[in-house]
Amino acid sequence: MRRDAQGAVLLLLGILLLRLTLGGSYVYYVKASMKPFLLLTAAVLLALAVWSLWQSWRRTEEHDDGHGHDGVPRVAWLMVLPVMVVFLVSPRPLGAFTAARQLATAPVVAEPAELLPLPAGDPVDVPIADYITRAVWGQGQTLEGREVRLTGFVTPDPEGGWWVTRLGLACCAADALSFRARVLDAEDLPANSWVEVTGRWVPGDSGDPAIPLIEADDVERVPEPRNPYE
Amino acid sequence: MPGAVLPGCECASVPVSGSLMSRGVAPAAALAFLLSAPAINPIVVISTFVAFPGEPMMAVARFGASLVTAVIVGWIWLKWGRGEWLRVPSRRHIEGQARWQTFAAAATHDLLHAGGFLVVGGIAAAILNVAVPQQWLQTLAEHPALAILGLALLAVLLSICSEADAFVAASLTQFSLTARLAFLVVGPMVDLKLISLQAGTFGKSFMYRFAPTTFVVAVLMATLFGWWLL
Repeated sequence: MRRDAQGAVLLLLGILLLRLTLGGSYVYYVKASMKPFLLLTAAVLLALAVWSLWQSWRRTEEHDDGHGHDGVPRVAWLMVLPVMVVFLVSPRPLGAFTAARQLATAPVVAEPAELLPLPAGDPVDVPIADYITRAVWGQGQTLEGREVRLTGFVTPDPEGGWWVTRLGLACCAADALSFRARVLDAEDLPANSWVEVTGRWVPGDSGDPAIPLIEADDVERVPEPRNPYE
Repeated sequence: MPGAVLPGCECASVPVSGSLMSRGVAPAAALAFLLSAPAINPIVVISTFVAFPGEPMMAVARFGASLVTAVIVGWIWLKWGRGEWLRVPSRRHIEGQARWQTFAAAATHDLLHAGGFLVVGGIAAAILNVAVPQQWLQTLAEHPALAILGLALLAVLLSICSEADAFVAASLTQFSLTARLAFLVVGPMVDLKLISLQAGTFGKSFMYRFAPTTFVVAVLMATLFGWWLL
């Protein structure tokens, strides 16, 4: 790969990264806290791009051997692929397809040292991972008698009904885990619709894996949040 | 041993060990670094500890099995490895250039070179991740020996970063702890993106020998440590 081509690929990557980060859609692919590192990386990429382009321009001026490919193999052209994918397809965040593939596995959340009471207010907004912790590890004690509101997308269950679902990232979308609660007494909705489920915790059959349930009083369709992950 | 303290993830350790070799570090030692760095650094140990709250021995077993695997593979290379299998990346000396110029050239080269192979590995992992039915996992989980081998292979296919894989392993609750240990020991050492990176950096004839050897040693060590500690 020639020096000027290297510069062009680096320039594309830098612009892509800058656009994703400043435009906010980077949260579809990595954890939101990565922002400063992404900006730093974009700056380094752009600096290297400028340097490579300047080098190749200077070499043309000096009329050296003319090819100067610096041992970067052709496989480096594949770096253009992610750029094209993002600009042409702009992949949406992961959703019900990913969550449905994890239906067989238990929704895992770490056992907390202690469960604090829910904040005041009825209904109170609870992250789904937190709801699972309170339902499974706390046997629902901190949820009893409270009206809660869960925000997530619909993952249909192959055996009927659906789960209000949120995906959690540890690092990037490749390690997404689904957190979900089964919604009782609600009409069927299409997969991936974003909803706010207002309802009450009910005890389930405490089988293994324990399944967190929510008895719905009201299901409202809402727009997708800016950060679709939890 | 520096593998234990430098927090790096597995993709970064390929070019780093490559440049260690080209600076004259013995290949066996550089390979031991390559295998151990992503698996036994503090970030990985802590995230494993957090992901398995009820099982503190999991982090210990992961550390032990990964370290022992890295050392054994290093010994195997020392005893039976042949120099011609390994293409040590050559170091270009640029006379009469400022240090930052050399730095920029090396950074551009490593980024584009490793990045291209990373794209290849990423495509393969993404396709298999979506194409392999989850039912296969369920069937595997029911046989203790197959479960270990199955999760070890899953780790190869999924290619998750070592900082985040413990959370995914924690969610695979239908598998035994030993099988999940195999997932955590194999993942940072052998996976599709690493195979692609290693083939690109050290040559194909190296990769054909190194990846299977490491896989076998890692599965054996995980089984041994799982049986002993978990």
